[in-house]
Amino acid sequence: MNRLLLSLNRTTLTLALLALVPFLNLQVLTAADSGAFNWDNAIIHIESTSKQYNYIQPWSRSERKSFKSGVVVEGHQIITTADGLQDQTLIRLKKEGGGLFSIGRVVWIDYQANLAALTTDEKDFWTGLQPARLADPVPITGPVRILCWRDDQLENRQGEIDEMTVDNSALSFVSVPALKIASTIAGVGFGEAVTVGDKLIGLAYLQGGDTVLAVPSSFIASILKAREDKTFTGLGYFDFTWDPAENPLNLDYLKLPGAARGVIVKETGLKPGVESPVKPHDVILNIDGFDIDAQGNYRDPQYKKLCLENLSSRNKWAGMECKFKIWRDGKEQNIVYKLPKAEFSDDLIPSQSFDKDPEYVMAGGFVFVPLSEAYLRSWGGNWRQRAPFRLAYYDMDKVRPERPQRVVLSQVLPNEANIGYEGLRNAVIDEVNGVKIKEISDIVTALKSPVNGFDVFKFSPGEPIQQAVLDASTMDQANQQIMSRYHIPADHMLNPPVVPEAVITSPAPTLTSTPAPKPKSKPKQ
Amino acid sequence: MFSFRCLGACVIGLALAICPLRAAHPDAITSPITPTPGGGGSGGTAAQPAPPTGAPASSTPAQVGPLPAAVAPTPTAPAATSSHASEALPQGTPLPEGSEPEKSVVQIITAFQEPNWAAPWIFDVPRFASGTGFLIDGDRIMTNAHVVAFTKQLLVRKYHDPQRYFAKVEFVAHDVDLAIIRVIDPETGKDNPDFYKGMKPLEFGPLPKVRSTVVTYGFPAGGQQISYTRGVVSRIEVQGYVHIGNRAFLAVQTDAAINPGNSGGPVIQDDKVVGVAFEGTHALENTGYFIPTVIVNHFLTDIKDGSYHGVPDAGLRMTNMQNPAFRRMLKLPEDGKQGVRVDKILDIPTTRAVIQPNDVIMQVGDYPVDEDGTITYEGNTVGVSVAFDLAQDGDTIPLKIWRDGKMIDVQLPMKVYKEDSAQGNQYDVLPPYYIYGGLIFTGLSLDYLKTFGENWSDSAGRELIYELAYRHVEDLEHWRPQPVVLASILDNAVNANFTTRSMTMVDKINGMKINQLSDVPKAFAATTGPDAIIEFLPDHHFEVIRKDDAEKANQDILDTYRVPAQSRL
Repeated sequence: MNRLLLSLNRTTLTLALLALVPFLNLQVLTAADSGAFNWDNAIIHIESTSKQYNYIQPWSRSERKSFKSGVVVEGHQIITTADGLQDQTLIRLKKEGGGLFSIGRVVWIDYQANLAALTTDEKDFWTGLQPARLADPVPITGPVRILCWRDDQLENRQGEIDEMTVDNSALSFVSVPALKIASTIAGVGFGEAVTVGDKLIGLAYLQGGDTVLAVPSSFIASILKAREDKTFTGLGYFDFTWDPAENPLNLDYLKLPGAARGVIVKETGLKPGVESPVKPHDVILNIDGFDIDAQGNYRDPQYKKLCLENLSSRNKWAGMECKFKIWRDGKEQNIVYKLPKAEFSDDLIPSQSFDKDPEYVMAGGFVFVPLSEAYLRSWGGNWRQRAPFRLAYYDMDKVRPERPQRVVLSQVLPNEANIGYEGLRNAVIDEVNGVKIKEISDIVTALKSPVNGFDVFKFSPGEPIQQAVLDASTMDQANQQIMSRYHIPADHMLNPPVVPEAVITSPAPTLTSTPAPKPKSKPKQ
Repeated sequence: MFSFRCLGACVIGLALAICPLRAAHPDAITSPITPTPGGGGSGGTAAQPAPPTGAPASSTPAQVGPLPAAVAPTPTAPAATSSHASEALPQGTPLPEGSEPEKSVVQIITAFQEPNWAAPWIFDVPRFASGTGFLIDGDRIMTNAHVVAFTKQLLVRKYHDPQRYFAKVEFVAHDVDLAIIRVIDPETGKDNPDFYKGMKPLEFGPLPKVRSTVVTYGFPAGGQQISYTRGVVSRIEVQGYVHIGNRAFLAVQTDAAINPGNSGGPVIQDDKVVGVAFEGTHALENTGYFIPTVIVNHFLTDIKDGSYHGVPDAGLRMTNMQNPAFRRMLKLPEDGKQGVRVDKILDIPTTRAVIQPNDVIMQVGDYPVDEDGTITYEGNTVGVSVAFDLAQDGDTIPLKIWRDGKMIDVQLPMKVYKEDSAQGNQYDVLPPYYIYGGLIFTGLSLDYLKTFGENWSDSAGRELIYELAYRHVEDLEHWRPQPVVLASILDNAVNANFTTRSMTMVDKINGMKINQLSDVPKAFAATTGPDAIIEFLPDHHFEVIRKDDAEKANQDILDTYRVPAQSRL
């Protein structure tokens, strides 16, 4: 897993390079195709209402609205990006730029891939609509149109394809293909259709300046097909990091003869609980028949030079096998790498937490929460600079069996029971009543066994204090008083434990026989 | 949560932007020394290593309780039993009524040159700044340590005398930001008695009372004429001493204007010096700080034997005992309101031998400790650390401790703690380094991190900051005494293909774990094959450098970049 940093502000336009690439898609769609398809009948305006959580006060919530765009595809479905649909409570759909809204619902949503399919049970909605066709492969040069409804008018703006690249998925750490487009259109990145002629070539998901990134339709099509074939098991990823082999002496040291090539593995086993067949200092030479160069790229048949990370999602899903040719111990070896499933819980500090109420435990005014990026984002977009240093530092740390989660005392709600501790906050808790706190539910368990009538809390050694004590005999009474005083509906909120998905431990699925697993977290309808 | 710290633990950063007050001299060729970014102490009431960034309330030093309106007589004898001769404040010759203290106040002009911690053989462009000093007993001039830090030349001007006199540093105490200089004959290097003609040493007074009036004397903004500002003592409490950056001691806050150039100047009340001006803050209006005479006295007593040792550290982290449940659990008397709980003990064997976690310290020397972690010191409610700070290096402090349901007496040895010097600002030391094939290795320190610029806490990288500030308290298994950093790379063909950026921590060289900078040359010398292998943290990536090429290139690189020596260890 090489967390690519292809941020838009570092975008470099490579038109000159593209001109040198002899390798153009023979099926390039051109503007001449336009006119055969009326996009008014395929673009859908989407309004999503979601629960908005306050992770500092996790029991409180408000609502927020997102306005998105989607495209009608076969099977009475609307394909769009997943971003903005998280924690949703109501979806409304509007077609043809006017008329009444219809109530929509999620057919499936995949936050890792940043894609979702919506539908509506109102049959009249589909009258007059026309499913769009998805380009596969997509062109990598030429003009495009970016389409969406604005004030009931179809905005139709021009853009120019810059390149196909590989980037982190919008909501996840997984690497996916991304189509980079130069356009002056404003305010896109919410599932707007990127088209060439009568074909959809992508859904916009991010904009920075005059550059728009889109999920390419080839990637969308591969997921739709896998879902149709019931072979989609979620996105996988390469759970190792690597360095380019640009220092020839490094390859000499590894006894790899010949020209510099391949990448050198650094850390492995980033997927908790899964043993990686790749080892540090392996040189990865070839993946699924594609040679890897010293910068970590391979030559894609459709899209020229792409980062090797793309091979983890190029028609491959979690649990499937990739064939690696590696250099290890002075000789070439072939190994099979089974793609681990990408899940937010793979990170010690999960980057996202969708469709779940925030967890907390309140005990005697001590409010405990699991440390998550959602919590850290309470300090704002630049939380890495503004959040308490150690909490932000743990974002770089890894899940370990003895510590799958970090739990933090986020604040103390002042009460007679906790006098003297009012200023304590953002402190990592290690132990309660002698019980090691691996995850937040352990606190509830630990509080059932006070020590000689006292609840004893031990904090991480780097915290301002190491120990706090509350009276266990008056804990229930204090909790009632605090809940009433601070308008807290319950003294804790814990989600049911996540059952490990079969794809991690089962034999590698075949393309025809493995049923699609249930999504990790189903959106509330 | 209030917690109290007797120093020792790392503190990087300070909630308020307090800065030392040395002014640019009018003759300055560049700007004066900039305020120390991120320097500062815990304020004596925050035990948490303050994160280098402005974290929200979690890192805000807790405040002590309301200040007493009236000042009651308090114990005057130091709580410590001193191994040094018991010293009173220097008496000097009392100034007669209607005296003119300004005649004893001098302007100090320093030309200073700081080392560059990223390119350790280089010194920055010499700069000029000015501060203030005053004559004390024994033909000595007292000033701040930050006025004389890294000085290359000291000049002194006295009242209504256009002549500039040469001076030299006799003692410097960077932890408490004080120094003693003497005026010398530049040709002989000996004292210049002519300078002191017509001057009388100033006498020290007691800790001023809150709301009493004080006058500062100094040369703010580098002006050549002395300036007087009057104000009241607005607060007396433990403050971070930003010059050292990771220490906090008693300080007095006043609304008398204290500006750059006032540094080292006397703060006078009733013709006696009650403090030495030393720092201010941009965060609060009309707020300046001066070092009270209890700290000055500690310094003067310390140097009596001819060298400065420093303020010792008990190595205790303490926290309040205000929670009734915790008091009951430790079986403290029901009606008691005394005691501060030992929450953590630093790795100081002499302390660990006599103190245990969850000991409740009821009295330090003569000072009973309240449950909020304060003592009453000369009528002021201040943090308990003040009582510990009265001790000299080697002293023993008597403590009354509540342990296992009963009171016991303990003698706590006090020693100066220097193991955390890399976590504070370092002065008058040259940065260590070792160069091999253009790779510049140095020890990780706050001074090195500051080379990342004013916003170093954002740009230095969380790994380096964690390593310096937190690893030793959170992850002893992976802690190293002096983490080594690849500080930068002097480009040469031998390292041209390196993909590793500089500012990366070194894990191993040729398989040898690098615990300190002195391990680096040993590890390279142990290269057995044609290549040396350098492994880095945190992700264990590596780079290879060819031994013969590197060793051949060494001298060429040193010559090219005018590096005087391959190492300074």
